[in-house]
Amino acid sequence: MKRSTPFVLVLALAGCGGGGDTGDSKDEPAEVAPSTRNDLQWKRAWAVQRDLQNALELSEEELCRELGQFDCVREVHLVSLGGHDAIESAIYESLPEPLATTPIAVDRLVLSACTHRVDADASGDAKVFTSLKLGGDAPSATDPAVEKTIETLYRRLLARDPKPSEVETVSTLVVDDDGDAVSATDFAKLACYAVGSSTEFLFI
Amino acid sequence: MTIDRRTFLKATGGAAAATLAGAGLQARAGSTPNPADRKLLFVLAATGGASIIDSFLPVPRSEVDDDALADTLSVYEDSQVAQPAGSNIRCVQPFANTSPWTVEYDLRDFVKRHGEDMVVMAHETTSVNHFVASGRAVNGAGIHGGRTIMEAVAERYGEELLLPNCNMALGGYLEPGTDHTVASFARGEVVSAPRVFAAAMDGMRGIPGAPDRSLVERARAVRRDLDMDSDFGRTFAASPLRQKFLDYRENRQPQLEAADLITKLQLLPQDMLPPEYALAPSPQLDAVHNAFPRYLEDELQAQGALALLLAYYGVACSVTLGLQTEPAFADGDIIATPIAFDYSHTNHPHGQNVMWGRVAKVLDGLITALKSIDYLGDPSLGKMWDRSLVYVATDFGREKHRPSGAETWGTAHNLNNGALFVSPLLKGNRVYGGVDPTTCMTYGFDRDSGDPDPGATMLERDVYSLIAQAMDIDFTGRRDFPAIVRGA
Repeated sequence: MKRSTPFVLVLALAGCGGGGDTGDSKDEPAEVAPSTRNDLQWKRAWAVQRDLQNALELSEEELCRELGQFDCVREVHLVSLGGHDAIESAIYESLPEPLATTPIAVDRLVLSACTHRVDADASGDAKVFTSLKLGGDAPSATDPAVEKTIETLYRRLLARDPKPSEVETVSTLVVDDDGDAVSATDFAKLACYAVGSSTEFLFI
Repeated sequence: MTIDRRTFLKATGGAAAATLAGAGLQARAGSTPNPADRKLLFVLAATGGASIIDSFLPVPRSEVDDDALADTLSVYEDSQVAQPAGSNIRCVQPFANTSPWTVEYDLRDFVKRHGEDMVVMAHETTSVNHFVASGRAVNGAGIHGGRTIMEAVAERYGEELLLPNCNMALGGYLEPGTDHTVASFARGEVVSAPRVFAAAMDGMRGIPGAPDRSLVERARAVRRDLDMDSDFGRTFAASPLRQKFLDYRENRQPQLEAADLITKLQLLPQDMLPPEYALAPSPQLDAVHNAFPRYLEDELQAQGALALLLAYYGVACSVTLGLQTEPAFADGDIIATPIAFDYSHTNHPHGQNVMWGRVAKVLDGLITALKSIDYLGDPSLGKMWDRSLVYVATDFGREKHRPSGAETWGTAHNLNNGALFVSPLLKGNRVYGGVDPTTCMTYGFDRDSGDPDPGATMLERDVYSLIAQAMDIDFTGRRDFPAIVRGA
């Protein structure tokens, strides 16, 4: 993707609602200026856990347990998720940078959390995925329920509305590689995973 | 439109933009991608101050001419010191009573089984601070620009490997080196939960209810687009932190997943893997269990088990194990003291006896396995042991004196000590240096002949250099040991 030359500066801070776009929401967004400081902070283990719990209304026990036994954050992936443990591991400070296994740990945590939330919503009173009929196939990409679901995920996970282009992108998950409709639960899990494991969720 | 990984990385300016192979760095001069040439380093961090004169360089009481003096030194009754037939190396036998602790292994067995490859090297350290000293035990007090020996080995042999430098130790042994020119792929991968480390090898397998892999891959492609298209992504495209994460996600993660390491490194047996998780134990689990029968309960054995698999499958060429600071238990026995070797502050003889037994037991399991298993499962590559070096790193030595006649006493830290190496790459069955029976202080040796030299003092830089030379790692300032390294 080519970078454009002089930009119109748009306030589009991560985690803030609204992109500063003006006019019709279906217009392409204005260009943003690249940061000159790039001083991102890595959202660490406990913060990621808490944000996921809050966004998906899950308890710590429901969020992620490897093999149903080992807490993903506390017992298995703590260090790779940016945490530290002074008592058992004598790791007094968190690592300054992600490890090679960090993206995998993030994937597992988010995918597990999303799967639990969707499955719980499908089997009882839905809390997050209230716009979808989780029992059948995913609706078409242009169905308002799809846009509503994506909007819900963005608001819960990234605290902002999605851009039209982002809605369009995530909507493609209603079908598989062959163009056949996936199940509504799969769409919900995949959309949740794609948004929840993006770098915008992980870095602030 | 979904963006492929190569385009994505180029656009985000990732470090791996030039290539999708490994960590994306060009082959470095002196690196060795050929597995036939690869060497393996196993560091066991004997946390807390493991004293060589309380293990493999003991002073029998009879060698101290003065009984009154002997009463004040950290010496052993002659009956407590053994030297197995054919060995040039002595060892301390297990005490009959170390209650409440239990010695789980007899050092004599270790000398009998591995003595021909054992090197005891007398040396001193330059710090009695745990954190500083443990760091210097692996970085040679900066002799190689501040890089740890594990980083050096990983850089030398690990460019093609997925996780060339894995570290399960703690404290200063876990600290990265201070040489910022070390290739990023050689930096240590921290492993804090060895028994379940396999779960960190795949982003989606073993999660019941997760969509099929093909669908998750579609979601990953969508995520890539989102990362590219979002205002956040565009604003912070040049963030080094984000780039590093994306580099790992887009390059390393697919390789880790494709290698099926979630199976190969799976230490949990089938009865601990419920069918709904669709996971299988490692094909090498029998070999692991033979070497480390209690790996499911014992942390150090679990580390040994994972170390064996990481090396066997060509994932890592440098693996660091480390004693934990918590006591360990086995069937009601307490087989490891609190704070590992530093328990010597409270009870030196028992602490050293128990913990050296613990160290030797795990090393015995590891070395025995390495001697019996073909590297990468390929007989043409020979046994894993043929290319391995084990280094028992420790912080420092212990005080050499005791209250007159005391049978148990506490000791402070002491700069004077020695190191244990076990490797067919070294001229083993030998002590390099010696110990003065009137002081229990060790002394050095001539590097060319290996002859003891009471006037010589070896330091951390020499320990580092010895390993580097044995591992065929060249650097300016390396101090060579033709007397010790085979083929030097």
